[in-house]
Amino acid sequence: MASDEAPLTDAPKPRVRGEGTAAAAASRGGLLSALRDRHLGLVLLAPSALTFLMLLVFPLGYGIYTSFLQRHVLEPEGIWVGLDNYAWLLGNADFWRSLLISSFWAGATVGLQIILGTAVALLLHQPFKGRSVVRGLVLFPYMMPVVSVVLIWMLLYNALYGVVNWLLVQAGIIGTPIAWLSQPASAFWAVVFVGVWKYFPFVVVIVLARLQVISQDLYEAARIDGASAWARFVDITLPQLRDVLLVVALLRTIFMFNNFEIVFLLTGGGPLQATMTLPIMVYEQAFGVYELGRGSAIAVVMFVILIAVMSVYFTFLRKEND
Amino acid sequence: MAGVHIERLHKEFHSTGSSAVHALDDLTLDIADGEFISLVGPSGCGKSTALRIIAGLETPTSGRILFDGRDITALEPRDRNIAMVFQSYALYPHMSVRQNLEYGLKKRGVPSAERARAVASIAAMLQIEPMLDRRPRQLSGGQRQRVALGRALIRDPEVFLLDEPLSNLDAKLRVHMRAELGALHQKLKTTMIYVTHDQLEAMTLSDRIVVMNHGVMQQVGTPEEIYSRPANRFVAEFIGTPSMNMIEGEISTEGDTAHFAAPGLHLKLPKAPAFRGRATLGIRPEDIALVEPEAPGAILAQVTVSELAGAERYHFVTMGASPVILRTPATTMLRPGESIALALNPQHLHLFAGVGEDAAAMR
Repeated sequence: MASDEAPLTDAPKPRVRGEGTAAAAASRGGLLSALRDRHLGLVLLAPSALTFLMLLVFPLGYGIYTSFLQRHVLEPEGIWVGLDNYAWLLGNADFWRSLLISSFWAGATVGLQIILGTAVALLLHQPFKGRSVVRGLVLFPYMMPVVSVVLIWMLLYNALYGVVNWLLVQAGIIGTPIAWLSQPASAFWAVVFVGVWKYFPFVVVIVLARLQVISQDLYEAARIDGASAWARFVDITLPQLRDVLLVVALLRTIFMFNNFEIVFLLTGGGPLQATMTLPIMVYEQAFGVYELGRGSAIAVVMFVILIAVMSVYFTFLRKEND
Repeated sequence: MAGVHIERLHKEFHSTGSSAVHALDDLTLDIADGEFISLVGPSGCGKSTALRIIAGLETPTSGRILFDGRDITALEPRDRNIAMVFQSYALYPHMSVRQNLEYGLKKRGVPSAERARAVASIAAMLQIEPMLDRRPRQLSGGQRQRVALGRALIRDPEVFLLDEPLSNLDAKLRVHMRAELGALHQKLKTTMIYVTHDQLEAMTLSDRIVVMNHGVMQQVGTPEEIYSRPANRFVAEFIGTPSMNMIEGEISTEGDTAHFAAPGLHLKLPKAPAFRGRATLGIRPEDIALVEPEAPGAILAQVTVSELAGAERYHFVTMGASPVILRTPATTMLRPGESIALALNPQHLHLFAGVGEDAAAMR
């Protein structure tokens, strides 16, 4: 082996840092400079680290800390109650009911947003006259402020003069107008419909962007291989959209599970708690009955549920990549 | 296997606000059963359009295509019994190599046991057995190329269509795959229609070459015919590296002798052509020899620059007023500015009537 052989000539010894007095002084200088560099690094890192701590870690930690307190207007400092708030939650039927409603709300809105968003994206991917204009118009619901959306839909749903009732009556689907947001049976789906309408353009944009980069060669190869239009959709389009749909599903689930304003503004969690999602329950506990500790405990549980959803997603993704 | 008859194929593309683009103009061609034919030409010459129309991926504006006398012009790609290898390979990225190979068979309802046998046989032939369970992204360029070929081969098609299949490979692998492709055709004897812009691929692989430009077929012939008897100036310049030297001048006659005259150049032609007037003289770089200045018919020239290209050397010289490239063995050294004497091989002079790209060869 070459590495085992002795050198043929006495090559000059390379100078090692720290050798001799001058070198030692240089080394001391180097150490100081290294220390200075490290401090400089810390100083440069500090603003972003502090911002991160103040804006993310502190509120999160404070929320978790509050969930262990009994805290209300009469007890602003709070009394340490350990896991009492969590014990109250676990034994509270309203909490379980809200958890179920929240899960249904997130599941239904995300599922329908993905189905509708993908369908619309597929349509907008086809060439037709005025396609650019339609692509722009589809984004409108997503760009509108939530308050405006809610006001519009309250008018549309109105039992006396709402267009929805008028159309359904005209079409003969219903005999008399329905108070969509005031009946437990219809309120949940009426709210889900608004949630889907408001946020499906997000799915359209992402799916459309993905559709545009799928190589046409794949479709042509499949045509030559004998795939019908449906087979091309199932065998090429869907698998190509899969990754992006998984990301969209994750993002939308987090967003819809936490969504407060649409449901709160449309129904306030009613009627008869039919749309009482967890964020509204947090609000009710924290600012309705001023039980900040219990409100925080619900929020912490929501956080844990979402972390669990994300973990499942990333585990799945890692397995796929392996 | 099938013979292909292409009859007066025409294709126009229309886009809003602009006039129609003639991608293919009156292409008529007969391809024999088992023949390897290359469509070659620069970008936008219509070669890929022609191939896509044969595949059924584009509809012709007019004209028809027959496989063994059967008109397939209106048939869907899947009903034509063709296979195509794409420049990008177009392997399904979410499927394993095995699934890619058997996809076409699956869509045609071939039972799974039969599919497995076909995959095993193709994989053995192309030596891709160890990678059957890998995804395309886990393969090298050469391996992807083989899988793409395998996917085409597995269905035992009547006609193979290959759209620049080697252009995404590096130079070394391209030479290797070119040889493999040639060997594959020798073995299978299937009709292959090969599109390339690389004249070397066309020359080495093909039984016949179709040279195209601006949607029009310029010449069809064996590689030897295309190289040694180009139909026009475009073909002459497109085929061969370096390109054929072109000198624009005039043909005149004096009694029985014809002369070609260009600024600073006066040549006696070996035989009198039927044409007189403005003409282009073509000569390949290897048909120009270095001679002694006092040799009969020697033409004086001056060296501009010399380039080493491995085993040979290209010398850029000025002959009369015309720039000319001369090819010699690498050992021939010429200095820039050096005066030299040249002789043109009279047997290999190409004369084109008129000047410009369309100037037709005089036979």
